[in-house]
Amino acid sequence: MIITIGYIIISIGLVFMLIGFIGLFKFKNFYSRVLVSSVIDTASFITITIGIIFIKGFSFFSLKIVLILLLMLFLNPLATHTIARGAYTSGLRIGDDD
Amino acid sequence: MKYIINHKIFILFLTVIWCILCGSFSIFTVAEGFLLSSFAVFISCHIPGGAQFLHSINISFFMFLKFIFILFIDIYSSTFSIFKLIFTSNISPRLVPIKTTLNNEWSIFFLANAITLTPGTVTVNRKGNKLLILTTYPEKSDKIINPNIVKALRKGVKH
Repeated sequence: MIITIGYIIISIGLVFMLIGFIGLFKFKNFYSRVLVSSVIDTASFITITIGIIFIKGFSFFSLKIVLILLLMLFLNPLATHTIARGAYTSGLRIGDDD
Repeated sequence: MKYIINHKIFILFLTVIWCILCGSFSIFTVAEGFLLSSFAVFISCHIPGGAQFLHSINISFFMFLKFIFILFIDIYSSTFSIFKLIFTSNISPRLVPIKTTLNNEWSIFFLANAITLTPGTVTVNRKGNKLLILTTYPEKSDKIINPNIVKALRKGVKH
């Protein structure tokens, strides 16, 4: 039962990822893409990891997955911030690349 | 010895991570993790600026868990708002300067991280307690920072 729930959660994560990719290809503006990409690297990633934890149950493997999740919670914003700040400081204004 | 006493919680945290990575909580692994963590903290304190860095963070565990819980709820609620915007092609990014009431460096760091983690908002720049945020939400539904997150951070992260 728990394994089935895990697979359902992973499927929901994959749906999040799919919608995120649709958004990425739909918008041509750089800043819109940065904003939409958070759906993939945060919501989708967290959902898939929670699904894996459900499948594996309480074990060292799950604890390692939790460690990876915590690491990604710190590193994802760092990458997104660096990309957005790089564009902003290099002079790309909103609407420049429409 | 004074390093171990001063940073006992951080050393304990590192020891737990060591045990998780080794895949065992046996006495030998815990002792090994404790020794290596103590050595790592000792070395960090001798790097210029390292001791100051280790002293300046003081996190209340339960309030921080509450912060992560609120953050997860926020992430999912804004994910669904972003889905709505994706399917209606209604994304119009804008830069909004925001002044936070937090004055602790670490809490501002966690707040900026939380803002960037939430889909639809990205922290672009920071000067003191002023944050420049790239957001996509229409101006009328302006809820860029959840006040509960600020409240949890104020109680959870102290000097």
